[in-house]
Amino acid sequence: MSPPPSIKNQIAHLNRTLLRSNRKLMSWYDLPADVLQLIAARITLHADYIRFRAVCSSWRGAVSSRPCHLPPQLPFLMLPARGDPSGGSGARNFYSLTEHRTYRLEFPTHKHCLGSSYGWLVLLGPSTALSLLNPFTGSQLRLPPATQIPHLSDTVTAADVKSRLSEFSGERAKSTSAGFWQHLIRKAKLCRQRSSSSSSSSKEQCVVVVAFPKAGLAFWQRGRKAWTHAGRYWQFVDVEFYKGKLYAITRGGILSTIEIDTSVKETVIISSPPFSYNGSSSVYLAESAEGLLLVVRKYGESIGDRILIVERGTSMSLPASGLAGCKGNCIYFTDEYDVCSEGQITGGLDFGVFCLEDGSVQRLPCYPQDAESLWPFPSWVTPNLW
Amino acid sequence: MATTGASDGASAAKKEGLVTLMSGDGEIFEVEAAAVAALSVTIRHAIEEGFGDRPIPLPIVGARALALAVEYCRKHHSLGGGAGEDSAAYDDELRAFDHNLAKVDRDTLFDLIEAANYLEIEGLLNLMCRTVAEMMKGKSVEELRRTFDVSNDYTPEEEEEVRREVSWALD
Repeated sequence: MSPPPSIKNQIAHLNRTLLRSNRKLMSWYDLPADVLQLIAARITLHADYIRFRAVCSSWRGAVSSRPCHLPPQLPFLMLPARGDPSGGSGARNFYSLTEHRTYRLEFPTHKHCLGSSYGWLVLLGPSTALSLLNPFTGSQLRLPPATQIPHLSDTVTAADVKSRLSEFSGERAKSTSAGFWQHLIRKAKLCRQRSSSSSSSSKEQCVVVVAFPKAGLAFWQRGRKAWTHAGRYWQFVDVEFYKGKLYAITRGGILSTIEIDTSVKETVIISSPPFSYNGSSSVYLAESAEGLLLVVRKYGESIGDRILIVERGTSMSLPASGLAGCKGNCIYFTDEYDVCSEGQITGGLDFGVFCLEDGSVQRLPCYPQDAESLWPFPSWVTPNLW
Repeated sequence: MATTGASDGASAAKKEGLVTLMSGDGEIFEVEAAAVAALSVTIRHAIEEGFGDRPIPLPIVGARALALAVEYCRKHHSLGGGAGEDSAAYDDELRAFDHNLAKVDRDTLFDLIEAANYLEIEGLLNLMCRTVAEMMKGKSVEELRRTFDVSNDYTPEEEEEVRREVSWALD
């Protein structure tokens, strides 16, 4: 029914006063942008956010392609390209722990993952090219090639090369050259300054890519042409960016800081580690809201209602509450192929969820029958749309 | 429930502390001014602008959505949750109330979002938007289109761009 004229005037007056439109929305397509933004802000999974934006042009136009609000996500496990060591099919399967399903993401052929951090993969190949790839957005960034990393082959002799090459057999032999360079750069990761601000500029600043050659470490900052080398007398196993400095740790627990801004200055800050070094234990640095964590992988200690994600690259400690599909006091791990496993995990490669409470290892549904043949190595990757 | 059909005596004895709202489809609601003004920015402004002694016309809000919105305001006002869902006073009873209110069908959900947006009831709008986000979980793009009756309006070129950007999550 149509309101009488006196009411119409009153409505018009009220709407003018309150700056309101009395146009009735016709459908979900017509929802105002601010309402669509409120809905999108309630979405917690990257995949759901992406699908929301894909529905129609109205929804797509209302929300940013780079959401700032999404909470920390459980990582995806990047699975090996089965029977295809070069990853020649141009895609890889990624298993989502939250959704218990596999996604197929594009992955360049002839490239090998040296590590992952914040959703970015550091890739080697073809040959000695290095690059960054965000498989969730397809964004790529070229890095100076591996051949330009100073001192990379200082400690390598011809005999080393020969023996190393002979170690690669079967499927791995097909990627011998990459395997060799992968041996020289044991892993690589991306470090970034933890920032309370979520603005884009601060996210893009202070990003450093760190490669771990046999001796010391090499880092590259956005905008620079070359790799810089530091700490050549140490064999570092992990590094984190914290309060403007790189903190680098050796397997034995010796912690150094490396200033990267002006002249490279390296200072040992912990020379006697607060734990007894055990040849088979692994140490990591992990960032958390409380600060920088030094993680020593051994059994029997609780980490409370938190989970620890040990990526081949960046390790993270997160509160378990609010992360759908995970329980606390667990370590999400993959082995590094050059690190010895503890006795109860059979030799070779392994990945899964280690529960600190009862010492059990939970296999994931995507765990293959023949774990020994895993190659290239599976890696955790935390989705990120930046 | 809101007092409906009270228009017969409205002109005569207007009760103290009540305000009259008129839905888009002409239904009259006499409600506690304090409760709705505390939760609805629009009605607060309307009262401040001197609309309080006449029926306040709410042209795009249907009677059913208005009744639910008024119920929301009353409940949250009486339980002291007027500051929104993060308020410390947000107790189990309010949580249960919200939970029940969110169990509406799709069309009512839509009307409530429109009403909460028009009336500027922040807590109700957030509740409904969270409900929508919850409904979207794990749905494919096609399922989302079906659920919300939205058609794909992309040109083939735009469609290609959408797929290229994020093809991994679309299946």
